[in-house]
Amino acid sequence: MPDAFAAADGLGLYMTGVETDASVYSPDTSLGGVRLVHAVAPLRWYVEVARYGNVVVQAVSGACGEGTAYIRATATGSLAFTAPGDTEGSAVAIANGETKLLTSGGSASKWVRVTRTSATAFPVDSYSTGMVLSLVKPYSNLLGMPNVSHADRAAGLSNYRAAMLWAHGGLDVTSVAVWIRTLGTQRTSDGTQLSGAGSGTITTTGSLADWPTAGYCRVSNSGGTLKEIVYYTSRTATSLTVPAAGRGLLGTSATAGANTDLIDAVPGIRIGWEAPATADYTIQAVATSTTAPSGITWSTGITSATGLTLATLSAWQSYGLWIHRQIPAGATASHRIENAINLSYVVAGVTYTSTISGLYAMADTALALYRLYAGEDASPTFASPVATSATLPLTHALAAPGAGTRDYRLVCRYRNAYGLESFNLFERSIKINAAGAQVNSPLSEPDGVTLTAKSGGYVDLDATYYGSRDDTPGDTWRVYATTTGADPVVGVTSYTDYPMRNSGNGVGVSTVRSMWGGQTYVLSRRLGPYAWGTDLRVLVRAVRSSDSAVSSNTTATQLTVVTDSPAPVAWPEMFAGDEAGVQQTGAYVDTTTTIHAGSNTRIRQLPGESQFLCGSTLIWRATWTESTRGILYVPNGWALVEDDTAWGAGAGDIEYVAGPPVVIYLNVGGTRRAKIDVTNLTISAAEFGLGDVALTDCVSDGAYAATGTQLLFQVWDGILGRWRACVALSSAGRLSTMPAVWQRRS
Amino acid sequence: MAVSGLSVTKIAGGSWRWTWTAGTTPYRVVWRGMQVAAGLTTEQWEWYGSDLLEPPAIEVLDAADGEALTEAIPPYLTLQWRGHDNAAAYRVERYVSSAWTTVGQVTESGQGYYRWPTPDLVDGETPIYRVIAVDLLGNESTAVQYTGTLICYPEPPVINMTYSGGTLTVSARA
Repeated sequence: MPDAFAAADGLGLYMTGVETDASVYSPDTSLGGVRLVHAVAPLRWYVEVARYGNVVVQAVSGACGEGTAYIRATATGSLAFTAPGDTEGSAVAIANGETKLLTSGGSASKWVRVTRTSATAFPVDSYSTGMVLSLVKPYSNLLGMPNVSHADRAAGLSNYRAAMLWAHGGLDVTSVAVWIRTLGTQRTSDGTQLSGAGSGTITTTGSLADWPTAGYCRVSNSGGTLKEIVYYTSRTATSLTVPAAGRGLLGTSATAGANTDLIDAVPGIRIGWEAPATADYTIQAVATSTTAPSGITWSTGITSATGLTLATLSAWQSYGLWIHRQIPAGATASHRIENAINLSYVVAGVTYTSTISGLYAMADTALALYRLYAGEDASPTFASPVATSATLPLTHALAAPGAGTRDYRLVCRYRNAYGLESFNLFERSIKINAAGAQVNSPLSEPDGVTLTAKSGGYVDLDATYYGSRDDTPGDTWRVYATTTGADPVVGVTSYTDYPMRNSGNGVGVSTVRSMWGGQTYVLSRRLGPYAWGTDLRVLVRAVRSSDSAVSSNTTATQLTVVTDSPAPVAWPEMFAGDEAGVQQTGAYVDTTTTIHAGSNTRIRQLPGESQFLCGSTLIWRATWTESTRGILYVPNGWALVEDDTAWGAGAGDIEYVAGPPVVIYLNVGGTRRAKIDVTNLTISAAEFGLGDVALTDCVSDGAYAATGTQLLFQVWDGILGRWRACVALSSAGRLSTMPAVWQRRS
Repeated sequence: MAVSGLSVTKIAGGSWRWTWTAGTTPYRVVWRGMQVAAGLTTEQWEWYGSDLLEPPAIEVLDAADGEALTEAIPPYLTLQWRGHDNAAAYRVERYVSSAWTTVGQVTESGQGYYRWPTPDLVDGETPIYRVIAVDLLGNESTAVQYTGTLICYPEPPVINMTYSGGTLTVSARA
């Protein structure tokens, strides 16, 4: 295998410049003078996988083309190369400090030049792909030249660049040819042709599908002799639209076409040789990139025979190559326009080929628009917008139907100055009636509906509704919930409505909160408690009360309840180091307050916990775990019943009635305000709640205490050494905890 | 080639389903220049559980000939450089408000080539970056500067649509 700069790597293209320039050389200053050491890379490589830290890629041949290439270590000191879409080439031994040429398997013209920078052995990659390179055509290199601004595009522009071919391998390079690379399949203008002047259309019975959507067309006669190079601003599959300003480009003149003419898609460039001065091997230098060099014989040939040729480029010699890019006035903007040339040459009797490409973009600020697409009773097709505007707001009249309603489906996209348009599909729907009034515009469904398990079988329901999506937003949450293991069914499952806007009354329990911020509403509600294993299904919809419109979503969110609070620790102990135990102040470790001896209705005190029992039936457990947290546990199977029944006057604070059914009344101020049905496992009160009643702390010692307006159930806090109220029954019949939560346990 | 007849419907909060007209399988899905799905054999693809208000603008490509260029234009730039093992790290800076600001750092790991993708940029943006090699003693190399213009597909405009008196108004959403 050859060393670097030999064989196919025997010829390179380099930038030019002025040696006195101390600044960094760039393609934009490659305007003639001497040959610089900076090569014009036909392709750039993006290292996807840097497998070998001591392998540096120096160059990639243009013949490789774009795509994914691989450099693989076949042995600890050998590498092999695979060009995109090709087979792996022969392995090449490369020692530390060496630069070698790796050739791909399918063509000697496809190669990569690499240098090994250390003696570290390559990890042999028998099965992996090794180093992965993504080969791409470069933007704004010497051949592509700079992007074209809106102003230059509108006015037209010519740019010039100078490069030098260099036989940099120390070998003679013969039969050098450089020509313009075509960008599409050659066709015949057997449909219509251009006249001798002015705008027109070229059509073919063939296909122009692989031609650029706008660009340059070379028209030659059936024998291949050039007639004219034109610019087309647009095309279809079979036709090219040529404006008057697109006639006679790149040194040609407007010429009437014929139906036997050959047409080729070409880049907007022409090339020309300049032999360097023998004395100092320089070529002329132009002052600016828009200054034409003198004495150049330009070529637009698209074959090796009709392009530039050079019989011999002697070893180490250079030869000047000028490139002229012409942009006609009013050219079509694009984000990706290609210039490309082909090369062929012979080194040591072997013919090699290459391609050098360069890309550039061209802007048209008139293209930068918001574009509104509309469909009537159907999605828009995006064929053409119904309205455009450079800025927002954009307005558009929606015509009312003659009768019935019309559903406008609307999508607004944005296109930039290079003709790239966003490709969003999201539709807004506006339905209007014959009078032009908007009717029953659908509501967007709530987003982000989540069920989050909380301790003790409770579940937090959260959802968000973005009112800004709807021209007339909803104002109500509608919540469906089932625990049967089946999704809620609209029209069958009952629901509860909650206003989206905070009512602002500030009174009572608020379990629904809404935030006003950019028409965003948030639902946050605690559901439950549910028994362990409950299959909870919730559907949340948006409702607009003004016309009863409801969002159409039917997908429920599901959660299996698997939370339960652990029981509080028992028998807390405190020690002074490992010395004597410290007795908790006045600890009521296990005491019982009897309510009704005959039925053994009692309240049993344990550390931090109070149990309310009737015989062997547990009614509830009240706990106090910290200064702000008390929990009331109600056994599974019990029901909490909101009941406004007036049970009349009662005796005492906690009143046992044998029944049947066995009932325990909780009385406030001599009136029965809550009813515990031990037989039917119900607890009834006018209301149940959490934390909305200011409880009096430590009214008096004991498992329960009564004031004229409250009945308080208490637990002993062994840490603070005092009774703490955790459940209260008000004179209005509201049974609640402060600030704890109700929990149901299995 | 891009498939035809692409449409999207919402299937759940932050979740959407795209369908399209049958083309040449397999299909692949590209979003913001990145391939997010490949090898699809049915004319349907779903995106679940995002916090987006609207479905993302994706492109669905089939296996027919023809280059679709959208996938080659992600909304960010990538800096690449060749490191050397007497550096400890490479500091990436961006020129913002007339000053250089550190925006990233890459540790020297002996892998030779290093890449640093920028955060998502706006279509048309021309950021200026530079990379500085730093050794263990804090000595810094000369900075290597990068300047480029990002030309990519614009993001969908963030808008509201309102209707009144026969006129639709499309306005920027706050």
